[in-house]
Amino acid sequence: MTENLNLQRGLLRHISQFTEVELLDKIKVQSIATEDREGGGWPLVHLSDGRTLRARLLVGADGFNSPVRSYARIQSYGWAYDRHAIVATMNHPPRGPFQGSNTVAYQRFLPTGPIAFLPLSETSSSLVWSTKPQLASALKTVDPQVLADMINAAFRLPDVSLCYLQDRILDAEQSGSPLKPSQFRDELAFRERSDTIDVRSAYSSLAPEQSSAGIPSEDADAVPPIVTSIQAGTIASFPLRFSHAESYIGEGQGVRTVLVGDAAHTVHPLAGQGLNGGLADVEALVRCIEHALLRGGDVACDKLHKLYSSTSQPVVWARSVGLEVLNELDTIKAALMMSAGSERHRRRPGEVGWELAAKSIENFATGLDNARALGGSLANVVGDGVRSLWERGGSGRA
Amino acid sequence: MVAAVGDLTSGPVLPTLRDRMLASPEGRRILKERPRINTKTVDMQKLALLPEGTVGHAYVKWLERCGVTPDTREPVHYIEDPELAYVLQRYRECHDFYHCIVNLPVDVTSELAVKFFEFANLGLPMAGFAAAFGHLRLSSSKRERLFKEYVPWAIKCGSTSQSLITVYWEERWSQNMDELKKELGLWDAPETKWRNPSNEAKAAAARKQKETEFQL
Repeated sequence: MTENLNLQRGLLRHISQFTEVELLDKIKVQSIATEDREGGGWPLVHLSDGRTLRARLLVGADGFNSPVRSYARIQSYGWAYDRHAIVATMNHPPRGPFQGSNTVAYQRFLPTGPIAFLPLSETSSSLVWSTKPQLASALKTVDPQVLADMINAAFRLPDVSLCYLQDRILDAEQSGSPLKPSQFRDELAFRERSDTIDVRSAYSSLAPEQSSAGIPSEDADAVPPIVTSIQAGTIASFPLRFSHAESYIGEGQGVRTVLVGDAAHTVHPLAGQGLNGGLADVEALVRCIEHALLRGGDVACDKLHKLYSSTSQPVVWARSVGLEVLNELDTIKAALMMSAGSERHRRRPGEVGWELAAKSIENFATGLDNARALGGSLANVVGDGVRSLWERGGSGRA
Repeated sequence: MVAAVGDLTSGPVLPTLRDRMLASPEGRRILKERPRINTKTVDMQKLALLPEGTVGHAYVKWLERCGVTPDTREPVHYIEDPELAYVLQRYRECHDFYHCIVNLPVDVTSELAVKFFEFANLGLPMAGFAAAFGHLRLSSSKRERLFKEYVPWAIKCGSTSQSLITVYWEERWSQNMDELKKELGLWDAPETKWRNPSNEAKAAAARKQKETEFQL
């Protein structure tokens, strides 16, 4: 893992070598329009300092809500995952001499989403935790010590206890008095007691400061090191979505545009391919541009299509069809759910079943009574009828 | 044997009960402190001195009338997880409270009514089996009365009231019974014949009170 700051610094240092590359800093793009010219106009980028740039090729590396993509009228399909990712930089003691250096990444797949521990240096690592939006915002605002304890628990406790601790954090936040670190540790101790976790084992989040001396237990490598604190100012969160642009290259109205990175595709941070995908896009684009220039062509003409998206068209088509099908399934599912039992009772859903059972037993029991009474009177009626017939017949016979 | 079957069949439902306890502040306290109910942990004499109409007084009176003690509960043997084993143990020890709060004695019909009530309220399979097959031992007239009067009450009352496993009875000794019933959403079972009529039990309780006061 490399920290973003270091990547940016390296790139800036490299760019400063080239006088042909001009960086415009502290300026915003206000709008993008098409030049009004016969034979096709080029994109015009209007800047906030009043200048306008005329682009032979406009590369949209401007993130998920890409203005370049909307200028080029390129559609994108996708959905929000109803999850946010919390990121932070965690401080922890170095691994002991018997455990090797801090080069192992850990990931635990919780029911609400994976939590990942990604090493940066011997004593600091990066957190990426995909979880529900309410929990993500609660964890961002809670005391950082509580967050550190929660991270340790998230890698060690069974899910029941984890849900319990998360609910405590949410309840405390909603009631207006966020949990103090000592209160959280008490709850943590309660759950470790209930789950029979020995305080000295690697699965205890309350273990005293681990000294590097001493032979660790056998299962010590199954969990990451205990996080002692969170680096100030590094806690952040962002919403997770999946989305894919219909085309990476603009056509027609949006000609001379190309999308790279999140503007073209957004993915879940699992496997860490978001930024890496963007870098691969840039590499591919550079090859195309080089190829075109070496052959004396206009870099943004239609041929770029063929070079940049040689195999992606069938993939894009299949993905579009697949997404359409999923869209339809969602609608059908919603329709089914809405039509089943839409009455609003004051009661909990399970109680309707019990109420029905109680009523039916009552009715059945009283029904049996009625049936017996009815049967009795019926028997009387039949008996009388038969008797009178017999008597009549008897009198007739006699 | 009933206890053993209870141990073996309660598996699936105990995590739900434990989660319900964790979700309520009172239930959480029970799981943290893990109180037990038997004659050693509960001061019966102190409870007998509480005013008429309180939970503690009603409990002691009920024990007297029915001639039972909380010491006869079989401990849980066959559940592995300590927390779930405690939940089942707690249910067994609180069974008498469920009788007491809905005002039912310990004869077969009333026990079955309480089993139906417990099944509707807690969902324990053992209660379900007892409810499903226990009534076969009854005479037909008693069975009729059970299904006509007691079972609809038990199911309605059990399913609409709060989950009784989350009630911390030991904290509520001096609470008024009617107030507690209202809080939990319960109401009394249909009238039934007790072995020891109420006035006899009152006399017995008064005697006991005099004894304790004399000792003090």
